[in-house]
Amino acid sequence: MNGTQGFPAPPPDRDLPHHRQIREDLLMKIDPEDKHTSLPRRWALPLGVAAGVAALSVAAVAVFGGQGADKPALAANGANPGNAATSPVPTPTAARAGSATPSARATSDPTAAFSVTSTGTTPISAGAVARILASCLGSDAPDYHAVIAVRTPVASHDWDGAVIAVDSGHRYVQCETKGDRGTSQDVPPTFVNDRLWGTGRLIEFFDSVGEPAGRGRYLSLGAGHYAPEVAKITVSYGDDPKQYPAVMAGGAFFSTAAFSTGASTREPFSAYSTPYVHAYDAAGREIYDQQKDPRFTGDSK
Amino acid sequence: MDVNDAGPTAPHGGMSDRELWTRAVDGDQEAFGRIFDRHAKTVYNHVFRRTADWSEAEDVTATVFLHAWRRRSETVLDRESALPWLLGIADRLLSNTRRRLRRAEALLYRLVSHDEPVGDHAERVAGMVDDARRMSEVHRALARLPRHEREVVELCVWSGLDQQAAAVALGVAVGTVKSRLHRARRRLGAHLAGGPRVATSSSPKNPVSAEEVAR
Repeated sequence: MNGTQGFPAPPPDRDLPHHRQIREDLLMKIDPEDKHTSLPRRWALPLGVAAGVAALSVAAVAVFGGQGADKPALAANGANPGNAATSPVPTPTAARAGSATPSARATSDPTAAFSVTSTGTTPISAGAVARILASCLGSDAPDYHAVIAVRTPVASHDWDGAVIAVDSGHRYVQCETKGDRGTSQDVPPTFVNDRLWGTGRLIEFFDSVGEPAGRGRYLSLGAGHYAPEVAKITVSYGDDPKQYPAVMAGGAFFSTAAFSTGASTREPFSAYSTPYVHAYDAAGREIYDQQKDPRFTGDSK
Repeated sequence: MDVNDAGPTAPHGGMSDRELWTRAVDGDQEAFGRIFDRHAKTVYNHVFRRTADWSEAEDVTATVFLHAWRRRSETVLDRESALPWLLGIADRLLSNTRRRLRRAEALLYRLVSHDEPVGDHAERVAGMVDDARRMSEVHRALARLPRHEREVVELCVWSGLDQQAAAVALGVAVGTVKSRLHRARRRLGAHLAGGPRVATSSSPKNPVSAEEVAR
């Protein structure tokens, strides 16, 4: 354990007291025949709690080194959101991806295959946006105006969209939505702002989350902001090089995807559907690839 | 009973977790007992670091393995280790509202007053009380990190999981673990700059500033 990684170190480990007694008690309690445990029966309470935890913890910003796409294949949806940084107007943007062609991860494990079924978004009405920000930000809500407010292509238990808002100091917040309610991954919800923004940065990330959206389906969503020289932002998922346009407005971007998760139940789906953000300048040249960002490749302290 | 009467820690005939788990899935209780021997201490200390309560850590550790047994056919092993999955179970159990409230009450008590009795004054018990105090201070130092970032700190920095294993424990992508760790470090630096002083296990008698430990 390394206590010098920028975090305070806890007390040293101790041995488990009563190890043998606990072991004996445990082996007496367990039933060799209960291997076909009914999930609802045995895990009703813990799983109810776990669902909430998973909802908050399953995520997917980020990314680390890996294979890039020399010639990225953009999703054939014709959507090019362009750079809306110059018009920070609360105009919910719809970047329709429609029914993107399913794309499976190239893998030797057929059970790990997945497909992006849609990246389409729909605008959230102004009235709903106000209620979402109010519930998400509380008394700070009046200080913020939405720059992106969209529903995701599918709804999960906890989320069906997001509102990205900014205040007069160019500090951003990200609220996930469920109906007319907004919630934030951050404490306080206004934490996601310009504190993470550094000189020379092209892209910075807010929060990215994901969770199952019904049997065999998964929802991923995430947001961030970008420098003025960025003209287009796309997102690819997992090992699939296909890139999907992100919604861009007011200096912020938002990406979402609905997945068909394939047959695998043995591995957390998010483990192989990680989003990778790419940014392009006005000439179409890729100027940022999250897979090569040293902050995520482990090359940065 | 001696608080350090830990069970065997030696390798079990070179058998991997995967092999042991395969046997456990088939109902082999002794194989499961070996899994317990191998990982109980790590689970115990992980839970303590989350709760700052050795007694609750002991209680939860037993519960983790009981649930693990009942869910053994659904286990997700990371490479050859069951540890990430076990720690994931521990984290979910700790999210139980009742436990959280109880823990919060205990934590509040410790934060308000550090004058807990040391029982029979046994040196070991006193040490455990001291651990709890110090862990409470660490919790205060990390209190403003979002929970999902604290979880990564707990798993990667304190429990020693690598990022892939932490990803399995949390059910998220490896890249997510990386970014959370990165952000936690930056946030902590921002929050603690000039903030309270916290002790570290490497220098428990010589508290250093939060800014120093966050460097």
